[in-house]
Amino acid sequence: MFATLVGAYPRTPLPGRPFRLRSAHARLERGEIDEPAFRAVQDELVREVMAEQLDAGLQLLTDGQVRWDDQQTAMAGGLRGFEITGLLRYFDTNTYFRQPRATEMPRWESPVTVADWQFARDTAAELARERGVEAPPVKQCLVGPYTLGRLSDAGDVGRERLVLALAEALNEELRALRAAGAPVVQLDENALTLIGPDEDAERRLAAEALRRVTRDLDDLHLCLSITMGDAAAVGADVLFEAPFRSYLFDLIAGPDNWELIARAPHERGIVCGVADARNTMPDDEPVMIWAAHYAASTQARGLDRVALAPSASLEYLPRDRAKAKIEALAEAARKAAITDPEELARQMDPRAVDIRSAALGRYAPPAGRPGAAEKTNPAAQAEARRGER
Amino acid sequence: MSNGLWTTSVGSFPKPPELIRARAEHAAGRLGDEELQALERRATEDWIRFQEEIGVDILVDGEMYRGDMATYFAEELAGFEIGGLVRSYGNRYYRKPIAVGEVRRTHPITLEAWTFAQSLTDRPVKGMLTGPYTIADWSFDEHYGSRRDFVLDLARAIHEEAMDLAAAGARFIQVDEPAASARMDELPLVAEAMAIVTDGLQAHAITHICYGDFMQAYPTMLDIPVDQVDLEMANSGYDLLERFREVPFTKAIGLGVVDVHSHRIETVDEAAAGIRRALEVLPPERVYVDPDCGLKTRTVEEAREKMRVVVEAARRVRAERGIGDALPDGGPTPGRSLGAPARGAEAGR
Repeated sequence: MFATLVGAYPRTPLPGRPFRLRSAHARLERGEIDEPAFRAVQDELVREVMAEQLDAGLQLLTDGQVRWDDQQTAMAGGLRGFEITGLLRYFDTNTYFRQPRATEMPRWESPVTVADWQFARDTAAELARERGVEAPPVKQCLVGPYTLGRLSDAGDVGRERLVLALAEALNEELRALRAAGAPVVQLDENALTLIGPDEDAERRLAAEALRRVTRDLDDLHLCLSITMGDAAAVGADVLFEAPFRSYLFDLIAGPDNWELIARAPHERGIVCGVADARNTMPDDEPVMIWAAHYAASTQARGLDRVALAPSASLEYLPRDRAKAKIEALAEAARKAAITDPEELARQMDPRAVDIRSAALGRYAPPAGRPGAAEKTNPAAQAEARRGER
Repeated sequence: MSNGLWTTSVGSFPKPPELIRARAEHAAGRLGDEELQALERRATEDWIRFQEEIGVDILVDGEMYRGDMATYFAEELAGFEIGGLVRSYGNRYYRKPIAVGEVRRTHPITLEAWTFAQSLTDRPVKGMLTGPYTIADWSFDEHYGSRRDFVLDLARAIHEEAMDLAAAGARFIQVDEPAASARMDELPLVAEAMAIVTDGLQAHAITHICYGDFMQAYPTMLDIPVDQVDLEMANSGYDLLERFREVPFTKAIGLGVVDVHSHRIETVDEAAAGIRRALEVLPPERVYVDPDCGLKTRTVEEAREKMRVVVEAARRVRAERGIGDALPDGGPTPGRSLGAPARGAEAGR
């Protein structure tokens, strides 16, 4: 039981601190500094956001993806066969990415993310040494082949061929990360949420892409992450046939993902995306703890195969709110790991001792305080709002 | 002779370096309100003069006094506080508002700036507002819990602002809804909110939508009760125009013909080709020509060059086709109430 990011973390500064990255970016564009000087500023920011994760209590770190404009161009730009074109909105956010366009069948030529992962690993080790604690593992996150293919302009290559070629290319990248020693690599397949219930061809394409991208990587911990909605239409068979060791699900934008968790084979790890990454409101600790316990109870999985995370990238939040979210997540994970119910009750808000009731909407928060149940249960949300008026 | 292909821009222009520095000084408390406003007015006047010089038909004030388009309104409305920075793309960030109470308009927001800009020119200056759906979507909500309640309260506030602008003489009022194309299932809410904003509005009402999945949003976007829909077209390769052959576009279009996120200055040939493509599916009197979006992310010189391309391209196609430039009155048009064609009316279906 631990807490981790989905991947990205705000690159903005905490209130009152200078925004060195933005200044450096502008100076780079004006030709006032060179690439190495700009990279040094990025390196320092990576160190800063990793220290923040470590100090908050997260136990599986990322570099916050603070070097990337977006996941799509970061990967497509490193492969052969793409050009980067106009801006597109990323799902339903107010965040944009430049759309890659396939100019030929894409090919992997050399590692795209290995150097950045190695830097993050070394940074984590250094930060841990300074604090006298054990070095935490660092996961590398990559956009998955289905999502990169679906969000790109396939051009003359055609989408099906593009997705499958990307699966082969990303398989090479995963091998490079494994060879470098990456303990956990996460594939972000948010576009699986776009597949509708009657889109069998898309389901088959996604299934084949997941098969190819994970081929012959049994000794690498691969995590499949799905945020921005629910992937229920893709189906448990597709998701769990692929040999991912763990799955991260957005349980705020995609509450139906609970159905998938309930069907996940017991040996698979589950990362519950329960802290709302799209709103500044503090999340209710009882719900986060309940989510962890519920995921642990499914298929007799056990708490040691469960973790907590934000519901999506934390880049949608201001830095101070993101920091508060990861601190709350780490604290919820710590408490969720307490197996003695009496000890857990002592450490929790006395109003939420019956945490299962809380999450099922039978927990009545004090007037004026948004309730735990409203976050995950639409019926409870409607009822709570009626009660407020 | 028909008239049409009127040139305009989407709203924002880049701030000159001295104004950027002044805004930073003002934010740090080292420059007073009056000194900042004087610089903003000088920059506004420069942009008005520039637009007149190159022959733009419908002018904008360039938004020298605004930062982010949603945050600017949230700062002036009751019920909001302003949160920390959030990235939108690349090295672009904005302060995302947080709704912490019931949203209300307590005073006119853009009226003074519009009045000042209009006093500088005889050509029409557009009133520029951010739409209720976009302000809500680009804010955090710690108060409402219901997106609809949040959006409709904002719609009432923006309606009051639009009515004030029209009463002051604004003939063209643009209500930007760039977020409208983000969630197809909420397009009806965008339309419901816009019906409140434009209710009884005696001006040519425009909405601007950009950087979304237009193919999915079309033709439902036509249900938004405005006279003109302004769309980013150059960035998306004018793909949507082909759909108009199957499902007719029922309103006037604002046709974006230069990409605002590229340093490259398009050629007049490229922009003119885009206009000609639009004329294959729309009559000239229902085509306005402009950049894809606000030009504030470009340098001053890039923005000027892109505007010159817009104007020159429209001028060239007008000459080719014998199209005049007499401006419309700027009142409501039949297109405002013409929504998406009934399914049976869709050509080819």
